[in-house]
Amino acid sequence: MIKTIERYCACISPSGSEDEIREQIIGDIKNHATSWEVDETGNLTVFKKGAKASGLKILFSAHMDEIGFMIKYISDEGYLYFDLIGGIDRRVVAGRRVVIGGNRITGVIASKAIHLQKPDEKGICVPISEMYIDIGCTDKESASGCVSVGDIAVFKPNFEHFGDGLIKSKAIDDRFGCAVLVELIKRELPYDTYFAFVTCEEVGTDGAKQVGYRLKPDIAVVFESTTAGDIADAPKSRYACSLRSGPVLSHMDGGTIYDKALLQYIKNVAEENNIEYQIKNVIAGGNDSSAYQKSGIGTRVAVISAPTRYIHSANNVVAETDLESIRELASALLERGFINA
Amino acid sequence: MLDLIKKFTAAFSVTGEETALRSVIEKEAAIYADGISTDPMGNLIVYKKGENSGKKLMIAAHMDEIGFVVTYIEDNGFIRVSNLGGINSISSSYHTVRFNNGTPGVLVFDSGTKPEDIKANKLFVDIGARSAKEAGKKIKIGDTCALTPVFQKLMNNRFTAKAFDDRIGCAVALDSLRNAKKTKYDTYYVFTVQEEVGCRGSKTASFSIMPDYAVALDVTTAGDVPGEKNQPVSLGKGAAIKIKDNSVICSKVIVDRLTALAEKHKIKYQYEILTAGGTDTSSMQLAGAGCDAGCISIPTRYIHTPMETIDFSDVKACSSLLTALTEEGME
Amino acid sequence: MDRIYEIACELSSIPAVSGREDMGLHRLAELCGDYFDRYELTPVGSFIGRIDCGRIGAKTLLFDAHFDEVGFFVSEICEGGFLKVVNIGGIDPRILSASEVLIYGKRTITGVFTSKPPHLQEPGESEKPIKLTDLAVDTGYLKEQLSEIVSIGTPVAYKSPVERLQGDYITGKSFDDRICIAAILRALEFLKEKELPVNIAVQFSGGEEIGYKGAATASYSINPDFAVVLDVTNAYVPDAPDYRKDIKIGGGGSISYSAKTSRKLTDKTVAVARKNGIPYQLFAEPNRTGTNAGAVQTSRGGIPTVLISVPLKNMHTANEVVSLLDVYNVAKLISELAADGGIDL
Repeated sequence: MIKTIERYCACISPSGSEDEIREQIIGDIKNHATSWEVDETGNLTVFKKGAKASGLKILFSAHMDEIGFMIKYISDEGYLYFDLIGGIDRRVVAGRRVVIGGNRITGVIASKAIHLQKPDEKGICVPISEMYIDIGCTDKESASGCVSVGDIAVFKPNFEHFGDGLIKSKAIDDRFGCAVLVELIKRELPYDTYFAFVTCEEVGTDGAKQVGYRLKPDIAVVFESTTAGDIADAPKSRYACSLRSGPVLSHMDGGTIYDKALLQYIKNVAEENNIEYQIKNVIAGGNDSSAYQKSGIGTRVAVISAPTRYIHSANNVVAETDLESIRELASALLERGFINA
Repeated sequence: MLDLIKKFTAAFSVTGEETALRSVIEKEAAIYADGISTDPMGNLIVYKKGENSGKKLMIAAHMDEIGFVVTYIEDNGFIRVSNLGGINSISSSYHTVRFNNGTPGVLVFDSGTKPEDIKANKLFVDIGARSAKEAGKKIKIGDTCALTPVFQKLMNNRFTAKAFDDRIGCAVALDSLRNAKKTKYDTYYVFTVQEEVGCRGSKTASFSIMPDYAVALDVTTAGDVPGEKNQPVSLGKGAAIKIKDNSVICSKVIVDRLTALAEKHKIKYQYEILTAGGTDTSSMQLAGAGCDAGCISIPTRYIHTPMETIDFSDVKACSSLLTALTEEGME
Repeated sequence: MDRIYEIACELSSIPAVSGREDMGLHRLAELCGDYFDRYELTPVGSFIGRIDCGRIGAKTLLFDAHFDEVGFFVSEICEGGFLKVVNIGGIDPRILSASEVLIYGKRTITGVFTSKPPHLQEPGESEKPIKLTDLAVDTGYLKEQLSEIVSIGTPVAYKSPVERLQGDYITGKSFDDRICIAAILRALEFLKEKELPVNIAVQFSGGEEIGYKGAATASYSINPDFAVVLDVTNAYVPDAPDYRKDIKIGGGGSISYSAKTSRKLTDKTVAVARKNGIPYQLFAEPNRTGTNAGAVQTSRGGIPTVLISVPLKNMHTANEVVSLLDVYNVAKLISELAADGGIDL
């Protein structure tokens, strides 16, 4: 699964331009899915028939899109001014290497040398509107020859194993989630299950709104990355969650109050299968579950997350063991089929 | 060594006026030296011939302490001062002082000064004089003063005193000179001047010696006190082998050799990085064509206050480590 | 210029943080030792190479570029496998959050600078100054494992492979000042075909980023008659002061007029550039150049020095940008200066 995650993380697919990752996923599942379809806005839904029907419409969901950038303006000197796709802290954008568009043009987000900064500028990150990408062109004409306004860009792919069983890469949020779902689709399942690979989570859970409306699932479980605050100088009471402590379950976040019975069901299944899990201890953030919960007549929702450090940056950090536990938990849930959840 | 430490911290030796302490050290060192001299800047150079006279090792500890210099005498007899080196205005205030000629006084700041504004230009010394004329009988512009010596034993063989920076370094150097059964290289124990105003003395001493290897002895901040962050050096954890400070990045060969010697002789040690301040190490490293230089530091709390505090076990560790280096050299 | 790109890629990847140039000196010697008749490595972290022209009484011309790069030292090993670091040389903390580094301990490991998650931030924090003391490096190990690999003082440097951009631009780390080492090596290649009227001494000095240390000691030991110092300079970018408009990337090497260098030697350099049709730019910086020039010029009894700089963007970050054409032109210029030989002052 880790090799699949590496391949998925290398795709250039920010919100609204998910073609590349979607093609990869389709390539992986087409010989295993019972049926699949892509809707008008690019969401991919997959149906896998199980050994029997459970009477429930179960949906597992992950989002295909990643945060990124869009070229807004090409200056006379050939520099590319840009805007953000999704929410990114300016302090992880400054000075980064990026890759632009289908031609994969390399660029550098320029950073004013420390020697040129005025005293009151020092240490303060400039706003995104004052940043620009340097691709090595010296005028507007030559730059316009390689890129155009509206082209998308992402942090340069950089997947790597490091430390003791950790992985760092751009876009682990939420390519790992996609990889987990793909693994499950490849297996024989006891009950009929739907899988959704949605678009545009990062700009407002849009894909999930669309899929929720069409599919109308009874139960939706979202697989996501969630911010782990277990870094130096952070107080333990405010970690939210930690690496190497298993899947993160949540009772509430900024967008959803999760179905209490469903949460208990998932905890029970985890305990019965000796899968260590943790409960997120900070009320913050949001994900596609808020969209599913409120679509149509409503859906019971839960989220299973991978604790991820430095989320929404060029270097998401996760522990391999956590990702494997999530796959195990997901598989155990499908075995039980959410009967009497 | 305790006898040396007491003697040294009691002597007067402010930056630029190190004569008194130099005499004390010279007396102590003479019987162990093969040669002893004072250079034009006032550095005391104690020379010991080595078994292998092909190389030179220079050891530097500075004799000077921070203090004050008289800039002006007010009509009513109060004496205005400026700082010599990086004094701590707040901790020096409301303390007794002693001038180079022995005159006592108290160091105070202008009444009504806000804590954040207390600096050298707000300080003055009261010697009890009633007029400039009376004060002038004892003190003139250019005279220097330092805080009155303090020396106190605490629990766990820890001591607090004024001017452990760098009398403790001088004591370690002299203790090592006394204990060394031999010196592998021609070794120069240099007691330097004017370190507190920019490591000036060590520049000329280094140029005249042109060492192959050099080790300074100075204090470093122990961070094991309330409120201190990002400073892992602690009292009781042994001799601190310097990695870098603001004036120098110590040569790796010296750091590695000191580590190896400490391991071999089971001497407790730790590593230190000082993010502010400099030492004589830099002068020695950059003399002429340059040389391998490092520093053995004595972990010290409350540096540049009247109550610098050390753990005697760390001091002994520093002395043992220095002796091992002088006896066994670099290989 | 492909030749320069090759050399630049190799040089950029050698780790050598100021004060710990020993980490990379041997690799540097392997890379360029063959260019010289003899070479030595100095205690202050410099590489000194000599080429004799064979003429009795010939003068010695020194080329200097600094080998050290900015980086960090580990200052504390914390719980959770995080490292606190101090900067070595001028580092802008604004570009560090969530960036990658390599940690050169008992073995080399990867690290990621932390970035504070939103829920731990105060409102408006992203607009406040960032301090290095607020950041840490995540190594992915536990504290006990980590203590086996690193210790206080372990050097840390940016992780950033060299890459081509459009045209002849390249991006990577430590072009300050490895790109000038590349220029010097390329110049030596030009000079292989020529008769040398002077002896050449080359110093790839250590300790520039922390105060011109290596240049002072290396020049002292070489004692040349004249010197050319090569460093990089901030090229014009939007929002830089107007006077930098004349230092464009692609405009050729920037020759400095300064009280810290020799005006006569500088005039001579400009004349050589014009005579050979080599593009150049001019920069005025009378009081301080921020390079090895001052240290070399005040070495011993004084060594007339000229300072030539390669224009560069994003200095001291993991993604510095230069033009290969500028590097080529600087290499050409200093080789013509050496070949011209008749530096009669």
